[in-house]
Amino acid sequence: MFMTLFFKECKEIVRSITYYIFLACTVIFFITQMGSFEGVQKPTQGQEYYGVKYSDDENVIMQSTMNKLSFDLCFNSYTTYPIGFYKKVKLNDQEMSQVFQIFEGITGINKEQLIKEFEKYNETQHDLAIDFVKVKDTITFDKFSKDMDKIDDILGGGSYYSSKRLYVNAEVDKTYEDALKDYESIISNDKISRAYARLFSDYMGIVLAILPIFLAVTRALKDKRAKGEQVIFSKRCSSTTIILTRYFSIIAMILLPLLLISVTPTLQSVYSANSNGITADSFAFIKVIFGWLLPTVLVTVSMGFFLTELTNGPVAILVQGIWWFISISLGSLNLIGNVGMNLIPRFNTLGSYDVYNRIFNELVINRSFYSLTGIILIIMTIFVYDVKRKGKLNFNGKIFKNC
Amino acid sequence: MEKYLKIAKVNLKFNLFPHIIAAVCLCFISPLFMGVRNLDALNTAKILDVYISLLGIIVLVPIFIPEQDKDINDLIKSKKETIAVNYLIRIVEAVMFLMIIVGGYLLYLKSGMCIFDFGQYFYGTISTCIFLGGLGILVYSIVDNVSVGYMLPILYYILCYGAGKKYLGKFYLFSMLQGNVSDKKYLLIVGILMIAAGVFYRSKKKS
Amino acid sequence: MKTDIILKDVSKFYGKKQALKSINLEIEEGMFGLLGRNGAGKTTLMKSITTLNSLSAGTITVCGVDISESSKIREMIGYLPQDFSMYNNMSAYEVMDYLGVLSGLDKKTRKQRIPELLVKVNLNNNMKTKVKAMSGGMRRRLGIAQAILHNPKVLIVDEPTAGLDPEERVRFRNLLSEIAEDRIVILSTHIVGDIESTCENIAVMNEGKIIFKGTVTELLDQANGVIYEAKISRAELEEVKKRYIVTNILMMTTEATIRFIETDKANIFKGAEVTLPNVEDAYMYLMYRNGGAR
Repeated sequence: MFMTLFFKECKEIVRSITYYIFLACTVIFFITQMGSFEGVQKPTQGQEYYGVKYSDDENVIMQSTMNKLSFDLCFNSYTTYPIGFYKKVKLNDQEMSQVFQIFEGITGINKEQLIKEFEKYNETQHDLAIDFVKVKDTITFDKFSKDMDKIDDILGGGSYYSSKRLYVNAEVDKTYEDALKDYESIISNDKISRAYARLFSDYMGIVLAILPIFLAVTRALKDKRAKGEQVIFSKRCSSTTIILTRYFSIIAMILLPLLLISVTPTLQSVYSANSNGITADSFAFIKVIFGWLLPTVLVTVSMGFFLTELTNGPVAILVQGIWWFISISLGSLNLIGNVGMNLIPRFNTLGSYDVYNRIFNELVINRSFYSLTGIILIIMTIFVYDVKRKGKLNFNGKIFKNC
Repeated sequence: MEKYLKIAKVNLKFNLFPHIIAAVCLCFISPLFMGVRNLDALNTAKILDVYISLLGIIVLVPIFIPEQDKDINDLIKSKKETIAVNYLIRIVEAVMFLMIIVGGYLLYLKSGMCIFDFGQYFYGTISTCIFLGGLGILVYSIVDNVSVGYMLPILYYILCYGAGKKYLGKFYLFSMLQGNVSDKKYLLIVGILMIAAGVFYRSKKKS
Repeated sequence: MKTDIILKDVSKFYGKKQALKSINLEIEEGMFGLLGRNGAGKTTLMKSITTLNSLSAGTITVCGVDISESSKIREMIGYLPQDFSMYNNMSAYEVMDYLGVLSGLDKKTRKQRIPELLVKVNLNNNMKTKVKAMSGGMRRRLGIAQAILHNPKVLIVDEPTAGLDPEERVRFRNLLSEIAEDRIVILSTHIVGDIESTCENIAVMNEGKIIFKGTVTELLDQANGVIYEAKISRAELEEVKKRYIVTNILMMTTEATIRFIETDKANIFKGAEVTLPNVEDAYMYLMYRNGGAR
């Protein structure tokens, strides 16, 4: 009986316009974001540009942080993310002088000197390097980190001067050797397809954290809209079966096009792997679809079901919209290997196996957490549905209308 | 005149009110997670383009909700005042509230020492709101399903987020963010056209 | 197992408002009519039997099963709510098939019973008609078909004839009587005519209470001797309407034949004669005795 109902639900989804809009959007998003995959090629020596990376050299980190700080000081404008959201901070005079003091302690340059140098620097229209700011040799990285944390405190936290995020400042150009190392890592660790699949998860995670909510809300409101709610309530079928068949059918109808879409990048990676003389992991995309993307879908659909059954209105769209907005903003802090407890883990790069390796545990915890949340929410939905069915949660009952 | 005011009042009480509350709440919670003081023009534009423009969806799209029920739809249509007049009043009302909310928010930004041209940004933000709302209204009108009505503008927004200006050209939502207010006129005009088309289609449609 | 429904001291509160006030009722095989004004508590009572409503107090057993065992009850009950409809884009057959699955019927049974029932409710030529293209009457008939799809022992129908044209109404009543041959059919209505022609046993509800239970004949007996008929001129009509509770007016060119209720013989004007009550008169009389007719 469960399967019969499941297939009927799937059929209903296929007949709904919401689903086609969902499909169109997913495909458009996929094409615009991932349409051009040029394959992986071994870097050749003598290229002008190999991309950028974060340096792990403490001196480089200190120097580039100071460069950044001198810019920020001159414009009195600091980018911070106190709870994950972009916030621009301007300091008052007293706070400014505190920061200048720290700055002077590290570089030996005082306020007037800095401003003067900067004016000169601006006139020359020189690019990138600010060569007049130098970190004193006596400064240890430990002391430096502590000083920067003080600045971070003055700024209210979440700035690029927090000792945990200092490495982000040290963005340096990759050398040929770096690029070669990356290439070898993509070939040997990622078999190309895995690296590409991570990028796929990154992009598709963005749409899958919001699109399924519409399918869920539409389905959950459909009974009421069609005035079929009471009749369905009165049937023998258990609430668990009713909710779960709907739930699984939506999940299945979301996964199906994803699996189909993933055929193209899979073939691309297989081809690219062949041309590099290795065998790609053909199941890489299937693995990330189930391991990485499915939890997002689970929790989004559960959320839609739960809030809609609870409130009989489309408020879930608003809630999920806000959640999505927050997650996207949180994620934009760092697009590569940004996991934490974010609904949309970011990994917006091809390769970086070492980063992936580092965040892997975090990712597993994150994905397990959302899978579990999804499951709990859907169980709660079943409970709410059952209570409603017994007339114990009747917000819009006839009696109320009569009053 | 009195009857139009009455229509507006009933709409406010039974339909628009919760959506306005939601919109105002979104304004109020914004300082919690983004800077709203001492911003320069571009960072102000970011808040307006990326965040406040979403209010257009919240306030404008639910215009047909009172007639979601087919029987009510038939009943309203049977009345002397054509349904189109009803819709127009609701639109005007919603846009007015939108302007008040956006205007209020801009004043709030001004009072927080943000530096920007009030008139330009007001016009730009309202245009984006009307475009997103108009898209929702048009789709809602055709498909007769409110969640699809919410869905498309949000998707368009996401598309802008992801695909960027190169795919969307003059209809890129976040043009203020790139320091360009003049492109907003396309959004405004097309937004108004979509609202008009939506109302027209919905009024003519046989239920 | 006996086919009956027993309600004991059933009460239901919505907040402070008491929708059902200590109702005791036994319903046996055949058609059972539940009569009462809009808002008298009929729907609440029916939904309680269908387990779609929780009770504040009291017990209900359907064929010996307590309604707390909702799954068992739902298997025995077919329900047609007042404003039944289904997903717009489904055809009549698909609606039946979908709801059949929800009732736990296997494929073979569905394939066999659905066409059978659609013939019974005269929708056999509309199997592929979509719900959105159906008239009110067609939807009601589809509603009945879905309610008896799983061959329930009890069929509960809320206001089945509301919104139907007279022809459809008669057909519908006959259909219900036919179905009621071997099961309980409870129907609620505020249209007295529905009950008159079909139900043997009835109950009348007013403000959450049962103010009458028994047979139609018993209801009529109560009103014996208090119903009068008179021919009056049109001019007198307004005056008479003010003084008496008029149950029926038949207008003719210059005069009108009226039926009215009066318990005190002293108040009767000349020309009015005692007449046999019909169900409508009896119902009006009952309502009058319980707090006045409207």
